[in-house]
Amino acid sequence: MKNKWVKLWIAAFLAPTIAVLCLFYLIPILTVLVTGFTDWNGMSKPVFVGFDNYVKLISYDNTFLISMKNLFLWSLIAATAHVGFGTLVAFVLYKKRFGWRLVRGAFMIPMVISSAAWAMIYNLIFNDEYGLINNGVRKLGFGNFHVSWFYESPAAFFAITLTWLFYAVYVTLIVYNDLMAIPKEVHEAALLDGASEWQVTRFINIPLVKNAIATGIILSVTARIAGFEEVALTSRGGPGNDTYNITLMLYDGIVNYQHGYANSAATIMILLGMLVMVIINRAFKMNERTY
Amino acid sequence: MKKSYKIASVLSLCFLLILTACGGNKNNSGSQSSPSATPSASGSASPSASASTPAEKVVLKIPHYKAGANVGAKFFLPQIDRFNKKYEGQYEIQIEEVPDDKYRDKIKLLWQQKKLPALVESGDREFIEQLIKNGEIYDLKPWLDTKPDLQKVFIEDSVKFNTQDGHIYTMPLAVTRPTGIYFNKEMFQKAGITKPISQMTFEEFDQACEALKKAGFTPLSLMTGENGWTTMLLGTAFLAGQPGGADVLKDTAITYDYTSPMWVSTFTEIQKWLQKYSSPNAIGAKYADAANAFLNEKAAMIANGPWMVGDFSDTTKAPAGFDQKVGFSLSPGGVGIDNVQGYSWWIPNGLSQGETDAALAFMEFRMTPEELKQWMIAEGGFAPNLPASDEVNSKVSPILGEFNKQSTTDLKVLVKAMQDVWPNQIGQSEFGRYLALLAKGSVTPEQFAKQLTQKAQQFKK
Repeated sequence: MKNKWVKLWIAAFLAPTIAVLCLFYLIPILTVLVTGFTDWNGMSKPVFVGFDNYVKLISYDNTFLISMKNLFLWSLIAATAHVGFGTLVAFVLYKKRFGWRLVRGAFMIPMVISSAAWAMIYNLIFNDEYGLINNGVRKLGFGNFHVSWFYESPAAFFAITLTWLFYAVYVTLIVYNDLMAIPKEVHEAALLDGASEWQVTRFINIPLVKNAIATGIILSVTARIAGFEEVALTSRGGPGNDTYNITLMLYDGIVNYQHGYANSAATIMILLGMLVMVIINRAFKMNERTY
Repeated sequence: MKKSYKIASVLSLCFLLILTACGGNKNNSGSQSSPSATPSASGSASPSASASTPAEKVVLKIPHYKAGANVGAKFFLPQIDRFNKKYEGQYEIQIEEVPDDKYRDKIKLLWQQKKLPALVESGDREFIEQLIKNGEIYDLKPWLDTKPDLQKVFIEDSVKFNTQDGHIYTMPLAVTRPTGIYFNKEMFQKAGITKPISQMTFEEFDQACEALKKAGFTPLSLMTGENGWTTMLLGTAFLAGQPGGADVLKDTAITYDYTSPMWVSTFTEIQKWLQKYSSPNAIGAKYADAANAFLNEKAAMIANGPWMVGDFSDTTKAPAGFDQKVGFSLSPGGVGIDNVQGYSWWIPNGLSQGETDAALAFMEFRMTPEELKQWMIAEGGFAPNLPASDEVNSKVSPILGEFNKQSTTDLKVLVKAMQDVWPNQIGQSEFGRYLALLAKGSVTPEQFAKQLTQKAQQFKK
């Protein structure tokens, strides 16, 4: 009898969460999946067209291929340099050297700035006429230095990368929390056995926070898949379609009243996100206990 | 355990309350005549809100971008005040500020929520045409038929465009405000240019640019960022002078193919201007950068419309006295650029009678000669079918006076801008994105034309 009540209470508590999940995630995702196979302008009744939207998305021109190439490169940079930087900061903070609190505080500041605002800030930094970069170079004696960072190839790709590369606060937070959770006894035992500080980091700390690093990689790579503002508000995918990504293809579909096409792009984004999770999960053996 | 149950119950109650609060008020329609208007399934307010209480004041809550810091607010908000004063106790319009670039999205969102306001200004062409197809826009024709004086001021092309199968769904225009070229008179004088731009051919225009260069000035303030606005306007003027160009630019149909010689010649000319006659920062320059270059005397010319005139005397944007140095001319060949074949104000179907009457009253109010005159004084433009007014001519700024004069004396051809005959994707996105490559010489004008054509075809219906 008691068990029955407990189960009822559990169900009662889960019900709102499940309702919210269905309302805000499951139903929209299902709608996206289904309408991706339709010709739908968002106002009329959707008409089933099979895989037409996917064929058009992938093979109309080279935009999809370029988007995938950009996504691959950005994901690679995110998984290595971006997560690496965030992890490095976490390890530095963990050592609690002089001024670590100040560094931690300063590093958190970008958390309160939206990515749209970041994009606008970088628009100013990279502006040809009054931007920090170009004026700095011109002050160094290169008076004729003119690079429109977001509008020239290959500068645009690197300029966009810089808008998020060092913005790795969430990676730092996750790794730092895992580092703090390592029992002191483990370190003490290693030091008693004569391990150096580097050996403690290399053979104890890094393996014990690998799940946090893997989570950081998943978050940063999926952020690249869903990244919109940093491209749309800077280069808008240009010059030409050199910095195009799949979110812009989705956006194009929406503004051209081709919601079916847009949702086929959204479906690919969802599948890519799931694929990344599976790959990282397996590569880092995230389901296994670390200690 | 009992304590836990109590806490759980309180938490559940709080959760329910939050959900209820988030649900909001279903009847928060854009309009609210005193018996509340219920939205219908068609995306507009239902007629079920009866007109049985006409004595009650009808309040229309209208989201609009001409509010706050928007340049159009200077005229629009006082106009709303004048309307509210005239119809005091009967109708009232309340404006809810929406950012300029979010207005169309906001309208679409309200349509999806079935909460369209009683008055909407313009919108995406395809959106409006779909609503017309769905029967969701109020037919103004029967009402306009009872207003012969009102019809007299309309521009004929605008009436033609707005008439579909004998119905008129959006209000035709009465005022045209063609764009042209603002130039720095001092720079022109130093370069020895005396011939008015509107009387030049494009060969002579090139010579003028060369003369300005020789005198040490950057001739043109162009841009490739955003939608390439100032570059696109100048390109339009060139295209209008090409064989068949004016016809394409006057056509009501959207153009999807840009590979014909007239388009390629235009893109060749644009490439030349960007490479020879504009500053290096034109690549990637946005409208603010282009305007800034002209306002701060770093460029001799900029293509734009009368709404820019206020900036010339704004000392936060330009040096004091700059407005005295600025002249206006139509583009070479006497080309004026304006789109009178566009959708303007409209009313959704299915409002209560009171709301429809209030919306129609505003439509009529803003088209009265007095209001049109005030608008022209404030923002320039001319009404071809309104008798010339000394009041307007005497009150406008000298630049707007020149603008009005040129628009009537030197105007040889009035066309739409290129972006008005392009699909939205090209005008708002692709043109600017590929323009940087054209300026850099990374693509030829032929390749540029081919790329734009391919992109235009992608979303062709």
